[in-house]
Amino acid sequence: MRRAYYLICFLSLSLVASGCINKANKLPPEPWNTKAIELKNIPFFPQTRYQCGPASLAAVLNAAGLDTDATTLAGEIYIPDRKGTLQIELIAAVRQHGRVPYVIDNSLQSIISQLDHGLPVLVLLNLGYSVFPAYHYAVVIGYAPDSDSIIMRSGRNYRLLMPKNQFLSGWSKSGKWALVVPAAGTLPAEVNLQRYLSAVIALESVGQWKTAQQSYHSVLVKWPDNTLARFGLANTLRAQGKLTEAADQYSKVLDKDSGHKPARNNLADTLRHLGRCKEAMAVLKPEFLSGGSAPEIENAINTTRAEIQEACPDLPAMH
Amino acid sequence: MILIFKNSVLAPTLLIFFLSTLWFPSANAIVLSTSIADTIQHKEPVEKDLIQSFLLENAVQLQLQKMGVSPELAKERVAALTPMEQQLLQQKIADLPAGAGVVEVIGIVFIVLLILELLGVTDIFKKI
Repeated sequence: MRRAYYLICFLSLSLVASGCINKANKLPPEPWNTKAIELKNIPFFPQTRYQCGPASLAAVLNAAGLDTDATTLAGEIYIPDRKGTLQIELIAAVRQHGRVPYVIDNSLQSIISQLDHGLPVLVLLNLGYSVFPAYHYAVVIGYAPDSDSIIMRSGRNYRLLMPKNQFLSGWSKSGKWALVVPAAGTLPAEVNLQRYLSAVIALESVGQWKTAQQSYHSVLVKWPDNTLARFGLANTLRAQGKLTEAADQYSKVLDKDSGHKPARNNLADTLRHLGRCKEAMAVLKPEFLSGGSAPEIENAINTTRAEIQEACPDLPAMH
Repeated sequence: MILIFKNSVLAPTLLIFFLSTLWFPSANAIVLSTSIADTIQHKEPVEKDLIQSFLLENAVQLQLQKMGVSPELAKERVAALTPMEQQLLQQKIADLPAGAGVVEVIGIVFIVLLILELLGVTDIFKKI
């Protein structure tokens, strides 16, 4: 009797654990209508224990034109005591290697769009349960309509086929996080400008000027009127000492938006460094600086003006 | 704060830092960063308090080291993060999802044996 009792308890618990939790995760089907696709050239790095992060990252970085491997990357992203890799460190590592880490829209269709564009997609899956998660990184390289499966480089599997619904379930439980790494100077498919530009601004904040410059340039080829991208381009040029080009880009920002005070400040400062005092002072004429602005901007402008006057004492003072 | 100042390297470094800012007043222009113009997703703190940045970086480096990352690598890795990412890591390093790999299915065998035991098919475990 006791045995039967234990058995019933155990089985009930199993049913609760698997049944209830899965039921809570049941999803409405996404509209689906896609052909076969497979990016056969994506390299494969079989993972070592707990290191699906380095293995997956190595695959997408090599696909993006870099020459690196999982062992090297492990030092940059693997956390021994966590026995795994965190998403933010994956993103940081992409930046350090001179590429833009772009988190895509959270739909299966977006994954397919990136594949169509030639980009493998690094995904985070939860192969366990919400209460007992088992996180795993893999690289999506295709879709097989015959078996309705997602094709991945995963773990020690060169070519893993996972039924689409199983993939969707595991991906949903990880928040549907997916990352692409375009080759240098190229854009991903379906660019969300805000999100993309945020990723490029982050590149600036860790000193990846060249990559940021290329990325802003790519955006401007497609969206020439984007002021934020042009201001960013000017800033990255300036940071690399390309002052004349920077000044040119700041001027273009002001042509579009004469009230852009950060551009005004930075242009005036750049012109001062180029020894073009009169022009520098003219940029900061009071008529261009009407309206209030954040203290840090006002402070910057006042500092810049003072420095121009100090560097060019022959100029009449301006108030 | 007391905990931080017990660190014998940190205290003198901060002292030197303070003294140098007094001794060599900054005469550099203020170049406004791109993030200040990003009015929609203005997430990063605009005015970077250098002391705070330094303390935050140091704290996150120590956390990574405690989790098994070498000091040299910890330093590089923290420098690769934006201030916001550093903050997130500092708060949640133990809780954020850590992708590891396919779950090792050691337990399945045990569970199968347990079921068989309970059904009376086998008699391996003594107590049940």
